[in-house]
Amino acid sequence: MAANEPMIEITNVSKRFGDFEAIKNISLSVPAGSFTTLLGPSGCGKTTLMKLIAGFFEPDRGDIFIEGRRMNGLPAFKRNTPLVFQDYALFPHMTVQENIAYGLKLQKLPRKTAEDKITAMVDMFGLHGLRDRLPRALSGGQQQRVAFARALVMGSNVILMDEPLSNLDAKMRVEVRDELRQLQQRLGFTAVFVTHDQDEALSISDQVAVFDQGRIVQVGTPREIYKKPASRFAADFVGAANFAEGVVKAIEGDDLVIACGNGIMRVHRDGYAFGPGERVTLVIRPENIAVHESASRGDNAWSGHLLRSSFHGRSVRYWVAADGRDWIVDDAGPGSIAGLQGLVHMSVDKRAVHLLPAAGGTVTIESGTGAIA
Amino acid sequence: MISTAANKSAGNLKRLRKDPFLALGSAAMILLTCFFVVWPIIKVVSYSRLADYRKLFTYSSWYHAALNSLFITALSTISCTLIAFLFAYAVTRAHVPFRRLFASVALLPIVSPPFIVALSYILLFGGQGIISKYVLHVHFDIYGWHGLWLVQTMTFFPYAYAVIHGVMASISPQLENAAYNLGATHWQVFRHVFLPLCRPGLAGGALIAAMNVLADFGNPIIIAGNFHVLPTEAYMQMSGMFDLNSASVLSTALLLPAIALFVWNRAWIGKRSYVTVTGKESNARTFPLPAAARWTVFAACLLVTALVVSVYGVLFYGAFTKTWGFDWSFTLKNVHYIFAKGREMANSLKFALLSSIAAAVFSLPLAFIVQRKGTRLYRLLDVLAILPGAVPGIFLGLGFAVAFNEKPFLLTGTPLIMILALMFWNLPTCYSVNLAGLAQISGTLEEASLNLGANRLRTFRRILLPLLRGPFIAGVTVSFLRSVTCLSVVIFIYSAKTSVGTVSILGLVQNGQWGSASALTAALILMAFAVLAPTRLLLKKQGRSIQL
Repeated sequence: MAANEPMIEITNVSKRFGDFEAIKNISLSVPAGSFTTLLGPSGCGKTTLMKLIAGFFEPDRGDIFIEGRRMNGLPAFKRNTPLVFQDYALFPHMTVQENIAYGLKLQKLPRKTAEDKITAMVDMFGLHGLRDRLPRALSGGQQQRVAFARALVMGSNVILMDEPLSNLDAKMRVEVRDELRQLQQRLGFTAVFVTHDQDEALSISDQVAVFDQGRIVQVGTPREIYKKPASRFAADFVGAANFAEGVVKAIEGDDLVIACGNGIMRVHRDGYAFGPGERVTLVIRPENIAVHESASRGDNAWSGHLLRSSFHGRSVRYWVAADGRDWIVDDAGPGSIAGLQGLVHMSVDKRAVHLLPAAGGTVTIESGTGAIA
Repeated sequence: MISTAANKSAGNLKRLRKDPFLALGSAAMILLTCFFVVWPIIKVVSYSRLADYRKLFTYSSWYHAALNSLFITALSTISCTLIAFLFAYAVTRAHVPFRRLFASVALLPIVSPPFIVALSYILLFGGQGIISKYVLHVHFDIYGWHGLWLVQTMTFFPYAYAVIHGVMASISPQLENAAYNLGATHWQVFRHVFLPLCRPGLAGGALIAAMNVLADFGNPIIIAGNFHVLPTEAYMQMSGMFDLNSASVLSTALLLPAIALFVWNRAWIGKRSYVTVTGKESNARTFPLPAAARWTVFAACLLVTALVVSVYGVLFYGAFTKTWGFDWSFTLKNVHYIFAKGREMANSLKFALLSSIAAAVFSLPLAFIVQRKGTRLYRLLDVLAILPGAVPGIFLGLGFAVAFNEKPFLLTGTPLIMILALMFWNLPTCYSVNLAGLAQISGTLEEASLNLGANRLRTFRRILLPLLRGPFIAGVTVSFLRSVTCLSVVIFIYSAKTSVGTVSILGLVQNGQWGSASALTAALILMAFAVLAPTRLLLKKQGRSIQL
């Protein structure tokens, strides 16, 4: 199958449980060989969508295709979409070996082939010496490796993962997610990964689908999701963000001139179709704001009163009151030394400001240079 | 409201149509339980006319039997709950010696025939009693309400203990430590923190004790003398005068408060499990009690323990004594008598084994349908499965005697009626064990199995069944113990060929043959332990404990 051809195609799928609409008309295309992450807060429908793909639920409306085959009505045990469960769901009465072998046995492979496949998994996940243990005699990390081995041994082109890293401690989670990404790229399977952890989603994925209340609010690469969030929700959920309201005053060359608070912001046009007079929301990531002790000249600079700071090791986070709002600033530069206080000055690069239509405002598409309002 | 309810039941029907196997299974389960549980109840209740029921208020002996039942139930419930609380407190909180002994003593009476305490009580305090005649040299009439009160307290405090202990053990000592830390005294901690947290346990324990005392037949028939209660009065009407009409009126009078207590208990305590996966014990230790309080608790527990131990001791002693009260020389004649009653003992074993296995097997799909397919239609199945638990044994026995006495359902006198009656009497026990076992198996395990390509049948066989082995064995064991020591259910339906050990013992006691009665009782207890001990060990290996 050629790259970027969809491995999984979800078209207009809806699912309700009683009065609760868990999935609202979702469409999503998962390219073959890609690592696609379904990201969102709990209860947003991401796990439900995964269970729809695996066949534990049937969609009320819409279709699910895997490798071009329509899955609707096909029971879970005929789909071959191995799933790594959040709680691992290892069979407590079976040994590590029996757990890994469970799915293979049902495929009725020759004994030798099955044995080879299991050994390959045991090698890959470093499970030597644990083959005859019961799950309860394993550590959390070991259990998780068995869960991956049990899914991967099926040799399916699709692997589903439902928050598989959430039961690991913070340091291990980062290690395992990097290993997982390498493994996926090496073996080339298509991964669908559910998480509520935005760090995880950004670092591991080719494609991220951001969920909110049963809808997908944005699909894109991690960079697109982070740099150009499609909504205030997406911006806020994926990383921290400062929001400021403004009105487009003019278009000058490649820049939009925006009145924001008491100052003027210049923002690179960069494909935005806002015209003069339109209300916009400026989205600025904390790490894109520079903070200085002395006032900086030029555009996109403003001043404020430092409220408090907290030390994060690799950076310092400041809360600065300016223009009637609190700004969050992450300073990782060499100047981030203690002692900054009182009046401080901030600046931001015009390419580091993202624009959204203001709440309640509508997007109008304009081309060419606009006149000064 | 109405439209959503209609939608839901339409949804249920749709599911049933989609899954005909499930539909057929549910229908068969409903039919069978109705036939063997609901039908006998209806037969008994409808046997008498309304005019007969009026006699309950006009016949003074019936009226008194009803009052006596309520009186002894209230009195015994209070004493049972107090002693149970004391024991549970000693075991979980008081740091006294012999805690393990107290804990096992509190379980002993549960595995014994229902009338063992009454029998021992006669041996200890009766006209020829060791204590009354040879230690205290007094003679007093032990038959009556005070004797029954003591016997019921000793017999049924363990049931209350099981509930209260469960609740107490689950209260984190950290809560008490927090109160101490905030400056509360021992008494204040007990009064304001510990006791309020125990309240659900006390309520549940009291209700369990009340249900058992109310429905009990074995102890009052032996010890109550002229103090008649509803179960014994019903039995007298049947065995003395074959007056089925009166027996049904009296049994129905018993059924109403029994069901009320049962419903009350379900609403408060919910579906308690008999098997628990042994959880992590809290490491926190409680602050030691003042010495005076500690030793008072200890002394009280020791006294009760001494009584329980002497109940069993005197029984085994009696089993090897020639003529109780007159000739204390050693004999094996009573042991021989056990073999003379070989058929009854074999029947006890056979019926108990078959009925408990049947109940466990039957309850498995029942629990599966209710637990895993939890829709509204299955609520009916749930109610049917636990209903026999609300029915006093004597009532269920009478129900079987009445309902299966005519063609085409003529079962009177057959082994089958004994097995069926015991099986459905044990259904709630096995059902709740299996239900709890299923609830402990995470649904994702089934999903994982389906996800790896196993179909539903295979998933049930390979994943659910092996994981339910523990609860299944526990259900069979508890049912077996209940059946082998059961008298009330079988007393109306046994025949010469199908008589069991407990019935023989009753006859012996009524004839004053204490020695032989003791020997038979001891044999039944040994039989029960022979089953209990290995299963406890087996379950312990699986990290489970069995609660009786």
